[in-house]
Order: sequence, then C-alpha cells, then structure tokens
Amino acid sequence: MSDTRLYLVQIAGHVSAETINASSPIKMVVTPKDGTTQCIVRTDQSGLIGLLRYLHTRNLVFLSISSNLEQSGESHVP
Amino acid sequence: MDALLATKLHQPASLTKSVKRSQLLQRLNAGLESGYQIFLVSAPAGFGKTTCVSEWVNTLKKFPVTWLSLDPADDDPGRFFAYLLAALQKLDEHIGQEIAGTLRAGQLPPAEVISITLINDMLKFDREFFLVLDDFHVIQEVFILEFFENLLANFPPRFRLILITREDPSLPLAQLRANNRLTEIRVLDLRFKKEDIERFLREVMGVSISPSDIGVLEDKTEGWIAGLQLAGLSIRDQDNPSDFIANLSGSHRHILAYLTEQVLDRQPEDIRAFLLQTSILDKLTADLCNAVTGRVDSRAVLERLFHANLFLVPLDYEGEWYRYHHLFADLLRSLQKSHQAEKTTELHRRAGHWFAESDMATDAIQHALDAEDYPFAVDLLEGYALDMVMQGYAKTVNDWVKALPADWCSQSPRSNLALAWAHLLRGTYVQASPYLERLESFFSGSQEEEAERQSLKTEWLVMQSLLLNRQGKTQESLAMAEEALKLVPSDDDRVRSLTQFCLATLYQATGKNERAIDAFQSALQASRVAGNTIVEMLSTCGLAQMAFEHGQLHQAYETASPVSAQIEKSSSLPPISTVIFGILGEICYQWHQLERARHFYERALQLSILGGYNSGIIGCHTFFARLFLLEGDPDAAAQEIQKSSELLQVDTPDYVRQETLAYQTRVDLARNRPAAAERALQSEGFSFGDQFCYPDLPPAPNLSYSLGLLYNSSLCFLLDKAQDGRNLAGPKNGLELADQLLDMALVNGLISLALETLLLRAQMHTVQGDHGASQADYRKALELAEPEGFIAVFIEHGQPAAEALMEMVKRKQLEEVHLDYVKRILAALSEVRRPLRERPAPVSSARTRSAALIEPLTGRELDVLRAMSEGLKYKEIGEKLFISQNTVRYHVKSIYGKLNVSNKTQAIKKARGLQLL
Repeated sequence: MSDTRLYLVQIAGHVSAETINASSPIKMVVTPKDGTTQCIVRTDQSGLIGLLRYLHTRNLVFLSISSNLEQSGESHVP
Repeated sequence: MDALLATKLHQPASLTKSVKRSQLLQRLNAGLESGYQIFLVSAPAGFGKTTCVSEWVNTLKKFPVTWLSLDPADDDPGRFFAYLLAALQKLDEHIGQEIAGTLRAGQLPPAEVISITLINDMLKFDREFFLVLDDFHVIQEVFILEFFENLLANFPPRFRLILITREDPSLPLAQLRANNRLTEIRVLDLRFKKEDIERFLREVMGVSISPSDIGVLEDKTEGWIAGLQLAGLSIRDQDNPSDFIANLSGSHRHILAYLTEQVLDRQPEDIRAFLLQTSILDKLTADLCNAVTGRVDSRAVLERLFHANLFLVPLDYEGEWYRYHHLFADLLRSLQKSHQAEKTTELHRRAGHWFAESDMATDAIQHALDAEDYPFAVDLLEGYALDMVMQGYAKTVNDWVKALPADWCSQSPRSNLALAWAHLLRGTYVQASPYLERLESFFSGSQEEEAERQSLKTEWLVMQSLLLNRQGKTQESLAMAEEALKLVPSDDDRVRSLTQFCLATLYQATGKNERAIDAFQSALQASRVAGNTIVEMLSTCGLAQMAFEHGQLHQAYETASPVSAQIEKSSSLPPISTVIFGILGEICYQWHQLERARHFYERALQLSILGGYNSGIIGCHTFFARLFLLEGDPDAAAQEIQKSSELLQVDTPDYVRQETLAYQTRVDLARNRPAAAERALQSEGFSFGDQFCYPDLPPAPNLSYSLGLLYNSSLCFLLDKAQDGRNLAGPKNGLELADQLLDMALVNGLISLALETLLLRAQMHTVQGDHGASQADYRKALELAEPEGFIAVFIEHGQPAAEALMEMVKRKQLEEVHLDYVKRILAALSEVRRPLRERPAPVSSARTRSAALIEPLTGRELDVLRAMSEGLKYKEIGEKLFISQNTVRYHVKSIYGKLNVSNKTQAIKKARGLQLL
C-alpha cells in the first residue's frame, strides 16, 4: 500500500499530453499507441486513485491498468 | 433546518499521548519557509494524516488557522460553501459575507464569482493564514472543484491551504509541483519506522516488545498506524506477543478486521455492545448514545473508551462530541450488521428520533432512511424539504428522495414540491416536470386530509401556471392561476401569497394594471401573515416596478427604499434584491441624481453577479450605457452595451433583450454609426427605406415598457437621419407611429415611455417645421413630468429639447408649468459636457486611450484608478465614489488584470505611461 510504483494506464482513443496533463493531479508520460493512449505514471495508491478519478471525470475510457513495468521490461520512464 | 455544526469547525483536539513526528513537521515547516502555499497530505485511512496536521498547526501559534472537517454530505455546493465560509469567517467575519447572504437566500453564485469574491476578501490579510480541509476526498462535485481550480490559479499571496485526503484531488497538482507551490506528505512519509513503532507501543500503548518483534510488526503492518494501534491493544493481554505477531497475515483490511475482533473480544460484554451499537453514528455524544443504546452512563463509557485509545476522536474541546476513527467505525459497522442486522435498523430509528427531537434534520433524515423507516423519513422530509431547498440544499434533498422506494417517493408530496420549486427558481423548467407529475398522482390516490390536498393542489396549479407562462401561453397560465385562487384554503396564507403573486405578474403582463396592483397588495398582505419574506419582497418589488413604469416615481421610491434598507440589514440576499436596487437606480436617474443612480446600479450589478442572475447583469450594463450616454461618453456607453449584448442568450426574457437592443441603437447613433443602428432595428422588423415600416404594435394592453423603448429607438433613428439631412421625410412617416405609441402608452399609464415618445414627436414636428405642434408636445411633456420630477428624459434629448424649452421660456409660453421646474431642467442640460448626437465623440479622453489596452478600462475603473493615484485607501475610494469597499476591490482586481500588473504602484505607473491619468 505504501509503495510507489510505476503504473501504465491505457485509455481508448488519442488524447494529447497537453490536454491530459493540463490540470492533472500528477504529470504523466503520454504516448499514442494503436488507437489508444498510454499514460505512464509513478505514484502511490492515493495518487493512482486520484488520477483515475480525474481521468474518469473527463469521460476517458480505461482499457487497462497495470503495474510492475520494471519487471516486464516494457519501456517506461525512470 | 440544521444550524451549522460547530464540531466540524473544530481542529481535532490533540491526543494526550502521541508520537511526535518531528521529521514531518520539519518538512512542512520547510515548505512554509520556502513560500509554498499548498500543503497536500495524501494517504489511505489510518496513517495519521489528521494527527500530523493537527500537531503541525499547533506549532503555528503566530498564524491564524481555521479547520473544517468534511463529510460526504458536504459534497453539495450549497452546504460546502456554507461551511467553508463559516470556517473562513472564524478568521475574519467579513470574509465572504455577501456570498453567505446569497447562499442563505438559496442561491448559488457561479464558482468563478465565489472564488473572485473570496480571493478579494482574502487579499486584505497582512500575514499568513491557514485553512485546513480534512477528508477532502469526499469532495467530488465538479462545481466545488472548479472553485478550487479558480482559487489555485489566483491564489491570495498570504493564504495557505492544507488538504488532508485519502486520494489526490482532481486539481492541477502537477502544475503546482512544477511551480514549487506544493508541499506533499504522502504515505511513505507517514508510515511508522521501527523507532516510531517502538516509541508508539511503549509511550502511547504501554506495551513493550522485543526489537525483532518490532521488525516483524513493521513488515506486517507496513508502518500503518491504525493497524499498530489495534495490534498494541491486542498484545497487551497476550501471553506470547511474539507468536501473536508472527501469526498476523493478510492484507491491511484483513489484519484490521482480525485485530478489531481481537480487541473487541477483550472488552467486557457491555462495552463491546456499546461499541457495536454506537458504530452506526457518525458522531457521538452522551445523550445520543443513551438514546441509541438504552444506557444511562454513556458519558462515562465515552470517557473510558477515549482514555483506552479505542479510536475515539474528540470533535470539540469540551468533550461533548466524538467520532470513531473512520476505519474502526467501518469494521464495527460491518460486524454489527453481520451479527445483529435486525437490531441495526432499530438503532438507526432511535438515532433518527433523537436527531429529529434535537432539530438536526440532516442526520435525522439520513438515519430514518438507513432504518428503512420510510413513514418517518417522509414525515421528516415533509417538514424540512422546502426550507432546505430554499436554502440551497437541493442536491441533498434530491439524494434523499432518490433513496426512497418509488412507492414512498410519491407519498412525499412536499419533498417533490420542494424539488419542483428548486428547478423553477433555478430556471431549469424541464427538470421540474417529473416532480410535478408525481405530485399530480398524489391528488388522485391520496388519503391525506382534504385541506392538505387542496393546499398542495393550489401550489401545484401555481407552478403549472408559471411553466405555461414561461412557454408563452399567457392566457392558459392566467386561467390556471385563477383556478388556483379559488382553491386556496382560507387559512393557508403561504399558498395564498404565492397564488396572488403569480396572478399579479400575469395581470401585469396582460396590461390589467389595477388587478395587478390589487393582487400584489393581497400577496404582500398574505406573505406578511405567513412570514414568507421572499414573496413579500417580490410583491413589494412588483408594486415598485409598476409605480415606476406608470411614472409614479415618488411612490415607487417610497415602496422600494425600505426594502433596500431591509436587504442591507438582513443576512440574506434573495435574487429579487437586484431588482429593488435597479428600480431605485432608475428613479434616481430620472431625478438626475446620477451618482446615487450609479451607486444603486453598482449594488444591483454586484448582487446580480453574486446570484448568477444573467438578466440582472445585462440590465445593469444597459443602464450604465444609458448613464454614460447621458454624461456624454458614448465610447464608455458602447463598452457597457457590448457587455450586455455578449450576455444575451436564447432564453433571455424578451423585455431584457428589447431594452438592450433599444439602447444598443441609441449608443450606435451617438457614436455616428447609423448603419449599425439600422441593422439592429432591421433585425426586429423595422425598415427605413423609402418608406418607414415598423412591426405591428401589439394590442394596447400588451404594450410593455421595454417594447415601447424599442419603438422609440426607431423614432430616434428617423430623427437622426433627418437631422443629418439624409431623410427629411422620415419624421413624417414616424409621426403615425409616435401618435399610436403615445396613445397606447397613456392608456396603459406608461408615463415614462409616453414622456419619451412626446419628446421625440416634438422634435419630429420641429423637423417638419410645425413649431406649434412641437411646442404643444413639449408643454404636454412638462405637464406630465413635473409632478414626479422627471429630468433625465429631457437631458437625453439634449440640445433640441434645451433650445425648445429656452424658446418657450423666453416667449412665456409655459404658464401651465412652474418655471422653477423648467429652470432645473435647463440647468441640468447646461451641466452636460457634451450633449449627445450634436457633437462627435471625443478622441482623446482617458476612456478612449484606455481602448488601446486589450480590454479597455471602464469609466468606473478609470474613476477608481484616479482615486488610487491620489493615494486614497479602498474605504476612502468607496466613500468618494459612493460604492462599497467590495466593489472597489472588484474594480481594482479588474484594473490589475487589464493592465497586467500586480500592485497599485505598477498600476499607476502603467496608467501614466498609457496617459490614462
């Protein structure tokens, strides 16, 4: 619960980094991928919950949320 | 209705024993010293967030601090801002006073207006001050979050905001981090390290365990303080603490549930029962606990629990109110529900009755709903819903109504009625329909008493009448209101006042003036008996407005003036306030008391903005346009009328749109822009080709003041063309319209309108060379105007009126009129620096130079700027310009924004550079 992790939140459709980060509680690294938007963020659970609610209130559709990116070897921000 | 709960505004009392978190305090202090303005303490429940902040603010002795503990019911803008203002007013009673008055009248100002007003009020603090919002995660309402976004974007320099939350709020925190404005304490900072655990167990819980056990405990609980506290309570009685600790496993929730049961098992039976039974309460006090549990010694039990560290948090300094720690309460509740579900309902019912007897409606209704005691919930809703809606708690009432099963929902007519009113008053008419439909079903199926049914049906008819009127079905609306009047129970003065008021407005709209006055007076009388101050004000306002439109300026002033004084004294600012000040402004304008007129209109504008009353804002800007025209400043007038035009919307009432357009035309003419004026009038069906054509006049009773103004504007346009030599036949064509309009205005008693038409017709006669007819019209105008002291209407017509009047004085043709009165008009005319129309707009005024800015300063802002440059303080500026200090602050804020400066010195320097001063 108290750990900070790297999370990948995948959202349907393309959303620009400027738009998504404009009034976000946490700055995300945003990249488009195959008709989706991948948001990578390092945070704890309180930060993640706040972020998900922020995205949800902007009517963005979550496709997946995953963590442990370090172990999976996927590209990520340091 | 509930009074505000003082316990929510108390900083939680410090625990007698706690582990000092010096590193956290140092971190927070470092943020403070670095000038960080926002402090975010974000972590899941049970990590000691509140305790940490409470300890920190205790060390900030030299700064004022105010605290607000939020709960889920606060996610209703009306309630949230009521508490927020109460918290801020503990620091300074003047903060947000006007907003508080607006909220008390059931209005919710736009989020931006609330933030600007509060920011302005906060600017006067000369040292840092702190606001702590605990449990901020309960706030999800977009409206409230928008307010915080505005606040963060324009943060008062000395304000420090501390947010305690379980999740990061939907606010632009990333920007704050990037701008070094945010200090954060997160879960990693809050979790207890080994040495903290050791000290906590030893000093707070009185437990001593080995260093290795502490290590295991740290691993198992991840430094989670709530878990450690429960573990400490359990270990106390363990023969072998090491085994106990080693056997702890699972998630936090699992550990907590396990430990809670362990702790409960160690309590005597009666205390265990007390904990479980009272877990249904969000806040506890001895009397309430006695009522819920049937005990008589709850005070002693609460004190015992508190001293045993059993998660009891004091809510005040007197030891009257407590709450359980949220996590502990959650677990106790689920245990209570799983073991004794049937008894839980009874506990809620008892709590509901205790709160109802204590007149704490919100808690009473919530517990009645939790008890599924729907007859009781409906009974409470019937009693409280209307008052709560009228005080702006519509969302809360709506949530309760939604929580009722459908069968019971239709049996709560008063709450449906209240919600229908909420929508009607907010102008969301379509959304009122479902509630009105539910009410309709109540009339056919109910077994309620006849008088109650009749009273409800009358009120329902009144609301339907309002809806029909809104749809333009005036006759159907009137018929329905008349039917309502027949049904009003003889002893129901509240409903009588509503019905009479509704009828009065419909009579007024259909030109039945005498009936309208009678109905307004009946409404006034009934509302006073019923204590319905809103209808009392509305009726007074209606009477004042009718008196004004009928040219009875003194009567209108005497009617409106006491109400304005009453509004200023009261703590509530209903929407109608703006109309009262508007009428007083109009009267003073007509009397040519321009500064007083400006003062009243500034107040009207301020209240319109606060109330989010768009028509009021438009009307005020239109008035300022007129005022500037009269003062010979058409550019400033154009700025004001532009603001009005920009605010016009599809659903803006016709009278507001007509009035705006009427003055838009006159402003265009004063600025030598006849083509723009023509286009505006053409859009309303006027045409000025070879032949002047105008839309058919309505039947005489339907001619309103605003529509008449629009027709008069077309006459102004004809005269303008004729005086420029472009179309000398125009006035001849216009005479027919002027004749009809004048007759209708006089028949309807619209004296203010008739006066203007007479003066326009007089000028047309002059252009046609018929001086005899012209003088007859001037004479008639003077006769009409003198008893009530109209002056401005003559000045609006400038030089032609002045010349004609002087000529008539010279030739002694005014024997029917007192010469003194004419001399007053002539004196006022001579005061005007630049009479309208005859002179081109000045090109070098400060206001024109101000147009060089992206957004030019208004005339009033220039006045304030000049006063600032003279070194006057806000209070002195207010006194000089007859405006409130708050209005001065509004202007100053706007001036800074437009000049792109942040202080007075910069503003004056920049203004001098731009030759505005």
